[in-house]
Amino acid sequence: MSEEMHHPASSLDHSDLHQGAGDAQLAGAGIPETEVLLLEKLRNGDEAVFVSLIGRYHTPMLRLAMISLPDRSLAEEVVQETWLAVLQGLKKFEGRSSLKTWIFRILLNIVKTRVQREGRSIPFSSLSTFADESSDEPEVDPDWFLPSGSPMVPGRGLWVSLPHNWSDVPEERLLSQETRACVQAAINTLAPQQRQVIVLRDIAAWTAQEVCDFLSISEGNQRVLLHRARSHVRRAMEDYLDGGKQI
Amino acid sequence: MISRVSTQMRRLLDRLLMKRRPPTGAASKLDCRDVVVLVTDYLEEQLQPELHRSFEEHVAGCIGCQNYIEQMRQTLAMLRTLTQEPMFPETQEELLHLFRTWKSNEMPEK
Repeated sequence: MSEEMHHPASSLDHSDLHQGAGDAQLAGAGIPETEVLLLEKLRNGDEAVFVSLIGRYHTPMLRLAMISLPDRSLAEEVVQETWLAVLQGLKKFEGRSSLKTWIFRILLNIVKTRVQREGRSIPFSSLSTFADESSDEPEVDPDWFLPSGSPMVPGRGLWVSLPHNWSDVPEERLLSQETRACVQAAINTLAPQQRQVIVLRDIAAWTAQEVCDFLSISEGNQRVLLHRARSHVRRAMEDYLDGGKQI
Repeated sequence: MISRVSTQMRRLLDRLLMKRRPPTGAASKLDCRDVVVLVTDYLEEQLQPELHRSFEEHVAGCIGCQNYIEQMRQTLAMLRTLTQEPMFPETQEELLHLFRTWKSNEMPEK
């Protein structure tokens, strides 16, 4: 798929930007129309587009980088390097993947290089391989439930202690800084691949398909990772908010 | 076929088909442990229709599971609040500088 530039690179006024056949071709190949426009503007030096992009992607990029590079300033550097690489690669970008996926792949590559260079002990390979990750947390905590084979108690099933009803928790507490900090801490203790998935799905709001494509994992694997990550975070939130379950 | 079924589903199926003796004798009924295992599949709307129905059937009559699922939803709501953290102004400044430098190299006539 070839790319066609229809507008002179020197034109700064893009209020009259319109799509030519080449854009439609690009659009037909998988990159959405709005992205085609965005890409075009970016290539032509539209600063507002760049600012909106960095604003939109900054948080997930930083979070993703920090999974392998917990040092925030190092992660910030890597994000900067990524944007430089993005700008330098704009001309050659063919739109076979979405702009977003392309940007984040560049990020992941730069993170990988940095990790290797810094000689950290986190094995980067664990971030991109199919892994039925073991976790020391059981999927279902046996303590929560009556023993196997027990009859279900009407209205409360097999729960030994009922999970609390969080709609009783005042909203200021539920969404407080402290609760956020607790959630953040829980995310930080996730296995790397679980953390990647929850960051992209639940914080950056990527679709399941986007995550699968980006991480080269199956839909089923993505869901298992997401499930484990969410279960871990929920539990941390519960431990923090409740202290103990009601009987 | 089985190899494409997720690990969770496989475990669930194992339990349903082999190990458990459900008190009501209806093999397709779920219990609270199943709800905990399947909650993500449920929220992602990835349960097969029959399983989805059994899931909701159980939850309708179980306050423990209702609360658990609600907790999961609140957890997701909390995660969503982490979506945008403000960029340090210096960071934005540096990136803008980067952009302008790149631009003047690429398009010197501007």
